[in-house]
Amino acid sequence: MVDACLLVEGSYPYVTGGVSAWADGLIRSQPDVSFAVAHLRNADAPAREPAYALPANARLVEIALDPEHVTPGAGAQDALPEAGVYHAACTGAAGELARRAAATHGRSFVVTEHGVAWREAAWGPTGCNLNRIRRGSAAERAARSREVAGMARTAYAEAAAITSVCGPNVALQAAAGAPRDRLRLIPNPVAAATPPVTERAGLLVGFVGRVVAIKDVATFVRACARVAERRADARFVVVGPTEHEPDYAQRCRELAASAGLGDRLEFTGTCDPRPHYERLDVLVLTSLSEAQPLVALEAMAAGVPVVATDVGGCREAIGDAGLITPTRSPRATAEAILRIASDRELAATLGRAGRRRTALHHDPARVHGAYRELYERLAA
Amino acid sequence: MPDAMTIPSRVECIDDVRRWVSARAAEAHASSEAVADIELALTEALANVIEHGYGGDASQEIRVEAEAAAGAFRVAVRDWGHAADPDSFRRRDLDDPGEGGYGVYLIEGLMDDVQREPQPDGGTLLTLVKRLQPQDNPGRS
Repeated sequence: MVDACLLVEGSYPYVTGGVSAWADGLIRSQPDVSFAVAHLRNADAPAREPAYALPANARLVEIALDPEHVTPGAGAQDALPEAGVYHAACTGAAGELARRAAATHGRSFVVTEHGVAWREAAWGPTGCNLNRIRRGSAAERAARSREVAGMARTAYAEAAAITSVCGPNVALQAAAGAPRDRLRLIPNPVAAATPPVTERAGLLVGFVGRVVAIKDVATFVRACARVAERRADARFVVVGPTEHEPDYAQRCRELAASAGLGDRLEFTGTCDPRPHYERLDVLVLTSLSEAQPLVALEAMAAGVPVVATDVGGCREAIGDAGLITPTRSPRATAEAILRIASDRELAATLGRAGRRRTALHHDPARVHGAYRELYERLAA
Repeated sequence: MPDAMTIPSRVECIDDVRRWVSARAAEAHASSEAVADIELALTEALANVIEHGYGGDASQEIRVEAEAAAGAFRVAVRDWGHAADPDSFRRRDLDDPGEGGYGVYLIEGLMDDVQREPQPDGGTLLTLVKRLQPQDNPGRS
């Protein structure tokens, strides 16, 4: 028996990223709560080394799912321990197993959606953690997407609480049939960080995130080329793993080379992004889809102005701490970067707003306290 | 004549049009499962128009028509979204978010027929069709 069973798909503790950081923070913030972390993966997925050391109050339960089926097989939930509350970090298979285990043990379950899983599944190869959608013909993929949506609707109907990290996703959950009286917005947490060095030469513009198509790194590279034409002192950095979609990453490198960026643009590969914020003048996010991006919050907490596309919860999270651009627009992205880079007063104002907003809305103690209250209420 | 509703291009408005279309579908005796499928496909379609057709510009409009005819329930979604920055189309393979991105699998999985038609004055007309099964429409013999 554990206090809480947290179900994640293909992320914590093996992959770095927003959901993993959220899960790690959630567990570490409650050292007196015993957790089982159920990591769901496809049975044919290659083994990975953990990216996080599991905290002392958590133990890992591995659940391998049949990759040929979207809905977990009967009995897949039997590996889950009895828990005071079940907490799925998405709908889909995690939500379905949380629902079944809660029913078996007479407990409640809560679903926290970062991205909206039934929408991400619909994006096909790039969207679904477990990639069970990508198999088969177009008609079979359509049927699999529909199945994912069906599991989401069931989870919405039966969960004791449904939380999301941003307002637009709460609206989408409601539109997909989630009962409004069980919907709740709990933003992502972010810790305060060291402000950037204010006096330095040159301009450093950064993208932080996985180099994958859904982040539209190509638009960032094209925007860099435009900025480079106007600012001879500009340098650029892409901070994040390149191995998730290696072909895409290679094409982005080729694009940078053909745009003449040369060594002015660096791809760091996998690394801790946090030290980079201290060096950045602008953090750029060109994603085609986001929920509440942790990298934007981290940059804001460090006082770095943000330029981000108007998707998901970006506008809501960034507010007056940055500039919002349309998707797939190198021109608008470059103009926003140049506007911040050429106006030190604006950059300072945006940076201060970022620190203020993150302290106000994303204080880790307050965010984790909201989940703790939820656990205590549902386990009572 | 189909009923029509126009909403601002904001995610917060999707639920209003979803409820409105659901009521029209229920009046047409669509089954609860068919109504749920229409709701989810429409939600996805509207979210895509807002995020990608309009690039998040909340000041635009989306017109939605709904009608039941010839044993089917039809929802038409009209937007006036702008084409993306031409720069971004130089290399199509770099810009594909994945085979069948923008929710095409989900929408096609949920609906019986999906048509996308670029409009001469800009934007797109997306037509979603759900066949009403005989048991969906007890008023017919």
